[in-house]
Amino acid sequence: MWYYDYGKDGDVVLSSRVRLARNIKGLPFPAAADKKGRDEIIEKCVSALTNREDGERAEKVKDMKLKFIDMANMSDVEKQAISECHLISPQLIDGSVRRGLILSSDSRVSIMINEEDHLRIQCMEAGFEIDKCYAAADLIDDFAEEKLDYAFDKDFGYLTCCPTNAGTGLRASVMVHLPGYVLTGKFGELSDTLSQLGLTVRGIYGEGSKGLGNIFQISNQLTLGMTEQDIIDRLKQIVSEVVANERQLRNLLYKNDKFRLEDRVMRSLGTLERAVLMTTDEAMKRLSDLRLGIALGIIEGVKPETVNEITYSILPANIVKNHNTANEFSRDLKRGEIIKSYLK
Amino acid sequence: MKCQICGKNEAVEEMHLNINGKVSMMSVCPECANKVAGSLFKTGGSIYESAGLGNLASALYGLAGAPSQSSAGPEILKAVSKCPLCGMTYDEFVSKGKLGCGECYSAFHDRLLRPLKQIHGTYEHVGKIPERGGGELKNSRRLDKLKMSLDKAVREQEFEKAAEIRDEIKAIKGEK
Ligand SMILES: [Zn+2]
Ligand SMILES: [Zn+2]
Repeated sequence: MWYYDYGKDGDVVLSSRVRLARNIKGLPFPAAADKKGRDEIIEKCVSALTNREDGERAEKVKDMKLKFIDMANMSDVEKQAISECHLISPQLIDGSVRRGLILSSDSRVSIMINEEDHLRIQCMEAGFEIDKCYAAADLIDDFAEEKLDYAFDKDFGYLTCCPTNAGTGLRASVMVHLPGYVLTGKFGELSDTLSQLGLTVRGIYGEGSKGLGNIFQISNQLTLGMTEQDIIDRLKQIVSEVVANERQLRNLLYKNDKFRLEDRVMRSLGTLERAVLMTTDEAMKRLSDLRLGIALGIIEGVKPETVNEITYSILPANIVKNHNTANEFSRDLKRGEIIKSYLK
Repeated sequence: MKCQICGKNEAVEEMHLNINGKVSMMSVCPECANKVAGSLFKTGGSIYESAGLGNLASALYGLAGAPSQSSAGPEILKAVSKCPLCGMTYDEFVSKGKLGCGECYSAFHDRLLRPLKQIHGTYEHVGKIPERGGGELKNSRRLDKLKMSLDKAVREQEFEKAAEIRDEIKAIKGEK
């Protein structure tokens, strides 16, 4: 999977994502539509995006190998598992209404249908690659618009269910690992500064998961009144600074408290290599130490790609999906086993 | 739903009326709502027009500060305008924070300006324009830009450049 890869600035930026919210003119948004309306939305989006040979962009989009999946045909645990990997939002799991997903063969493109908006075009890449993500999303957007009449207003831009997304409908985000900020007690300050700059910082699993594994998501808050390029450039510029500072804080930490940091990192490695039972929380905490140890050169012989792969393989729904474990205890047991098998 | 007065147009206004102490509710189209408002308020038509507002609800909100008319005669207790496509009311939007469809943005255009400004600091989209759906706007944005650079060229006496820009403007206008 692409999200195991170690991309540009991969010691800090795990992945990048761009999402465009789009709606079809003349049709109620999914929450306000009836069953027939929602079927119509799916039908329109699927025929605009898949199995199309016409149009100047068809050739390029064809390479993505987009495939439609009716979410009704996916089991709950499968849905949760791909949501843990951030391919879909939690809202798409909710099966009370019919929802759809168009996924590229490499899972870098995930287009959600009947989420909050008719279309949520998401393009993702490993590492710090927002431009690449936007280019792909922009292409798919233009391709879809060859067939779909979008709800668009000259003042308000692309019209979305929630006015916080109106205008460009663009949300650009990066997933970053920030142990340097957290361990030096500077994370709160960073969080405040970013929100003053119009960016949002959240834990990777939403509001309640603040800081699981010291991994955070930074994204733009405003979508109206700026061009797409401005939004992206701004985010890129600020994230670049965060990346530089994070590296500096890590080095400082290592310089000032060498043995304590080495002890922390090696203890976590030892635990991951030996522990029998492992909860998600502990695993994420230890894996963060492992990532930090690899980045600082304290640990050699474990690849960052392996850490990424472990991170996604040990999430609860992924374990249930792949190993059919019955309860939390058997999950923790399995989690310990999986980690050991990777670190052997 | 069709208008309960004319039976022709789509009903997008819900009027809660008090006629001689009897409270009733009617679903009407904007035109009929206008007529009803005009007949109930002595100065109705003129206030409505002078306010320059597109629908009854806005007119009534505008009137909220005015002294109440005679309490004896019939009165409009409340008027709720609905989105003609999805039927959502502005109050529903306020409580949910979500709109029902793209048309809601035109139905509640004036009232959305403030929340949008609160969220984004502006309500002017300057980003991408859909290729098919925004052809006119694309040209008008390009024309605005060209006119600005034309002014600048003239001011700075770069006449050759100004002539070039003029040709470009002509070409765009001719395209249409
Ligand atoms: Zn009528
Ligand atoms: Zn509506």
